[in-house]
Amino acid sequence: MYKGERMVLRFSRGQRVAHWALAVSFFVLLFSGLTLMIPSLAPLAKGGVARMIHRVFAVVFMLVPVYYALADRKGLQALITESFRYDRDDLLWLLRMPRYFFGRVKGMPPQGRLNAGEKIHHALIILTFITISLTGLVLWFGKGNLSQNEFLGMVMLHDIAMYIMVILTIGHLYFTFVYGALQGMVTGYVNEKYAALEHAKWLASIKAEKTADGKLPQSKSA
Amino acid sequence: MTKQFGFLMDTSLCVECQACRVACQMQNQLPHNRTLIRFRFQETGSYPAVTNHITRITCMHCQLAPCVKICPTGALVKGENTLTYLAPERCSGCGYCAQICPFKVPQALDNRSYKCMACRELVEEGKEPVCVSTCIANALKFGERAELLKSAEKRVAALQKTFPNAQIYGREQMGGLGMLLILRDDPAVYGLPVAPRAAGELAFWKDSLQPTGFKLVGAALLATGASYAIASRNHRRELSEE
Ligand code: HEM
Ligand code: SF4
Ligand code: SF4
Ligand code: SF4
Repeated sequence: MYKGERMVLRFSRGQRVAHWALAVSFFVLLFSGLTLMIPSLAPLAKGGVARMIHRVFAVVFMLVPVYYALADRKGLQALITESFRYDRDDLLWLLRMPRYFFGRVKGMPPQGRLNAGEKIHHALIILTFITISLTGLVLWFGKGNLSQNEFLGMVMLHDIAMYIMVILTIGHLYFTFVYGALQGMVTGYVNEKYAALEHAKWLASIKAEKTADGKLPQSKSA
Repeated sequence: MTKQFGFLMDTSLCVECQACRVACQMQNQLPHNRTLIRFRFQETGSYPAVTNHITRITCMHCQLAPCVKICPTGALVKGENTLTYLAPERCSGCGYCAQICPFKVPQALDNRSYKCMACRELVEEGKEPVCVSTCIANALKFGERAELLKSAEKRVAALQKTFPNAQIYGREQMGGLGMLLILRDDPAVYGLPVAPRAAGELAFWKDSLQPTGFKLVGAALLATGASYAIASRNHRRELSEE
């Protein structure tokens, strides 16, 4: 697609490890959780196997932010602050989101390292992550001793967070494949042309760093 | 027309020999420390005028059984005879039934649920459940619920001469219980809930939230699946325009 272009580093090693650990544990949690929910999958859940797997991967899932904080504290801080801060270009971008949904980047307002869609995705993932973890922990340690209302409240919130996460993930996979963005999260590097098209403000900011100290620190040749 | 079957326990006759519990454990091949029948004792009055109240804690076979509604695996089902059956080989041990049962009957242990299985095989052959056939005091009966109610009414009328509060428990609770109890006093004396209920959120969760959630997920799959070819073609075109 983008041949002979220079590559720029978009995701640090810590970010990539955190991303894939979250992705893997998410899918394991989802499928083990669904066997506890859909009667036709029940044979897979019998005897408590699925519940055991669900708990093991819930621990992995909840440790991801801890790992991220240790591996790349600045990255985690940036992720959280960027996800909840929207400028004018972001709002305009969201208004024009339907264009982007159908594969058109040209004419979209210039974006930072994360586009406004990614920011919303991350913001919702952070909120649902907290919800699903807290309700999951209450169910884990409290089940059997909760009142009917407490119990139903917890499973319903756990379910709602799960539906939101699944829908976000469907959208996330869709954009990844429409825009051929998988490579970036595997190697960490994205093509400079891709960056210019999709994250113009971010590319400008790393280029500014380059002029300050003479070379582009985050780049390599393809 | 399905006929409602059920149990009738005359708590005034129970001598607490626990023969039913042991017979049930053997019938269902339970380990010695697991049981589907527990007992609750309550004393009223003060010495020497003490009355002992005994009741069993065992499945009440609610007509509107919240445990059947909540069970995510189909391990709990209603038989045609309206008894609440449990198929432990389908059970995931999630314990949702234990959380929702207004009588706190099921116990989630060993990655499965323990609750009365209504002696399904015997009952479907037209025989009595073993707890009933074992009872030495004739405190337990099994049969058509309508008939059990009739005989319970007679017995209560007789009991009321000595115990003015004597009554039938289970006529209306949870849509009518398949386990009718003859009590000598108010249900509260026996530790039984006067108005057992399942929280309304149960129906909301199962009938509205869950189907809506799945529909939204389906819609997201459809929308992205249908647009994928167009969107990736548009993107490729923009790239080659350079
Ligand atoms: C920190 C994370 C999580 C914890 C501690 C947790 C814990 C639990 C627990 C204890 C249950 C109750 C079932 C049982 O007893 O085994 C449960 C159910 C479930 N979990 Fe999780 N979970 C977590 C994350 C997730 C995630 C990420 C998903 C998927 C997106 C998920 C999906 C489900 C589903 C579908 C159920 C079935 C509940 C139902 O029937 O509605 N969980 N979870
Ligand atoms: S008493 Fe409890 S376990 Fe038995 S049918 Fe009613 S809700 Fe289910
Ligand atoms: S513990 Fe077993 S019987 Fe009870 S709700 Fe879960 S799967 Fe159903
Ligand atoms: S009906 Fe059968 S399973 Fe239920 S308590 Fe009696 S003996 Fe046990």
